[in-house]
Amino acid sequence: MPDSQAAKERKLDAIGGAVVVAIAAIMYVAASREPPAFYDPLGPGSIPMAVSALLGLLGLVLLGRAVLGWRTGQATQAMILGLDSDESVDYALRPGLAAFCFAMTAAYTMALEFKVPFMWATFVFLFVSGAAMAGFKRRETAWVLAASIAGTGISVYLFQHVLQVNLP
Amino acid sequence: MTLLDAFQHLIEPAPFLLMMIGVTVGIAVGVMPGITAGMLMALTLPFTYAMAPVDAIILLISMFVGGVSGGLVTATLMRIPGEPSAIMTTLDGYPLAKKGFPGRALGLGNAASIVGGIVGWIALVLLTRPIADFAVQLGPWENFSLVLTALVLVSSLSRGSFLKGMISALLGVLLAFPGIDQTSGLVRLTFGFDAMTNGFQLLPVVIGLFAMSQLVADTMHVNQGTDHIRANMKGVLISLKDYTTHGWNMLRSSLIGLWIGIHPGVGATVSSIVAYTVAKNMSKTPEEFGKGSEEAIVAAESANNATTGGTLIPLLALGIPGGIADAILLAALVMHNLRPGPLLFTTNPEIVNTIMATHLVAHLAMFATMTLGTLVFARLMLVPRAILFPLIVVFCAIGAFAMDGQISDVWIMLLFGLVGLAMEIARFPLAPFVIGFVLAPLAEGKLRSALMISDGSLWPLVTRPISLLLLLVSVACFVWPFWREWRQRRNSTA
Repeated sequence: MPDSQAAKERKLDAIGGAVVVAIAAIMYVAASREPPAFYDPLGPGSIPMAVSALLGLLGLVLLGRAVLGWRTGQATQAMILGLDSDESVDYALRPGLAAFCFAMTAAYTMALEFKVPFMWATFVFLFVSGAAMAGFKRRETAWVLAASIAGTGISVYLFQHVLQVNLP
Repeated sequence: MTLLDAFQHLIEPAPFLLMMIGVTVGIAVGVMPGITAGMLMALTLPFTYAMAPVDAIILLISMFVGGVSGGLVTATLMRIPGEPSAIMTTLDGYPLAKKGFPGRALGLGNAASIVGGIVGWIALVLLTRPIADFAVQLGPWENFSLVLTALVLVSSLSRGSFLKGMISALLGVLLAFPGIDQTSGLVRLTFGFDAMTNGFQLLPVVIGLFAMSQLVADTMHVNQGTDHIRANMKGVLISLKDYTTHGWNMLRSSLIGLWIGIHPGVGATVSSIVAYTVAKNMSKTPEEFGKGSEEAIVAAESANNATTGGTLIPLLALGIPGGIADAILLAALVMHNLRPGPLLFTTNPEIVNTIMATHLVAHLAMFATMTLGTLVFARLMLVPRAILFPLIVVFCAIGAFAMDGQISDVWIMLLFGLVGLAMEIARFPLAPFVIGFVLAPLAEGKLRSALMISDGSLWPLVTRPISLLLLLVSVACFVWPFWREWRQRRNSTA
């Protein structure tokens, strides 16, 4: 493995270990403050405390190994395709576009939270996200517009009338 | 309902239609790069709430079978695995298609898939009941030890790093705790947020981890070209001679897939890699592997389909999901107030028999649909992503929302989308996380009810032989990777 790749791996392990220790510490403190329960020798906080302690310990091991420069290894079986940094591709990756689309999804959720009608929120989301993915090229954007109108109509019909979901 | 009744039920018009929809949509989704069977099942789950449990199971199992099989088309014609489990098929399916035999490559893969599916089904029918009969005699202590062993096993079998697998499983366990404590009824670990009173629900978590994070990753690859080989029907239906020529390879790879499938958390991707490697090692022409070898396609596809049967065995017999799709099936059963595990054979035999019957009939339907519809499915690879991806996001959001009607669940979905991305970037395996998340309430419930019986004493964990045996297996699985590494280090310094 090249040195730069190993250094990157160790850095990710150190960050991962630190985050795990932090989560474990927060959960341990919160669990330790849970009141005891009647008729239950353990109470609601004991098992979360035990799991947090073990998790924190393993997080420290991960962090310690990274600091010492030891390799921990990494999952070789990806569940999410396309995140492999070793993978070489012959086209430009678009992390900025991915971040933009994720932000659009958060904005869409916010719109639904603030009672914007589902139909309008969905149409705007489908169109803006789709047009961004199509690079705002005129011909593709026209297709996206048509697909957004159709997609909104199908979504409303499917969720509301077929699947009987009370839409937000 | 007996197994025979379940078969009869499946050939009635409504369940048959449901199964065909499941298989067809599953294949279609398997064909489309970036959308996986697990993602489809997670998205479909909330909409099965209004269905009868048997119908929901028929739909989900059919999608599972269709999804695993559909990845073959994209792997062969585009050199992109439509499903992670089709990754080995790309190595030889595409070169064979490029040599001018796309129909033959698809036909071999399809034939291997049906053989793998049938072998998986036979094992499912033969092994599940005896294991369940044994498991039904276990008490809460043994059940707790069993879940603990499953979690350690999932982590130790996670390829790459046991430490990260264990951390992933424990994170899943820990994040299952917030909300109402099932034993005491008290609300815990909500950090003062009312929206957390119900804790993190399985659906938004699963949709976020697998669908949202995959969509973000896919969006990064939006510029990926759609060069593909045009499919044709020539050779799609292989001859009986081909079955005999590749028969031993199909059977061996299916058994490998089945064996790997039974182990929790390993899954179809690993089984296809192992079967491919074994086939290469045993081949008379190993130099052909990677250049369009028929043996390679057969090995990879037999194994990944046999795994679908293997993963269902621990789910049905013990209530422990073997993989992501099984975790979603488990969620479907829980959603319909069914408790997966050995007692399901007694309390709801119709569910067990429906799962078994659907697994076989869906494989047969998949074979027919893939054979007849290859040209149609091949066109689905070309649906523009700018149209497809945002529409899937809407399905994700409504899927997370639909169950409880809470927008907070959509936020949780987004949060776990980021968690999934972060874990994958840092190369923490996701399967142990989900399985830990699903099994944590079960393990905690068993331990606490056992402690109430024993008046707070933990001794029965080690004084009861089966519990002790399972704990020893857990300890061995936990210690083994560290001991192996220590020995390697000592040898390298010596």
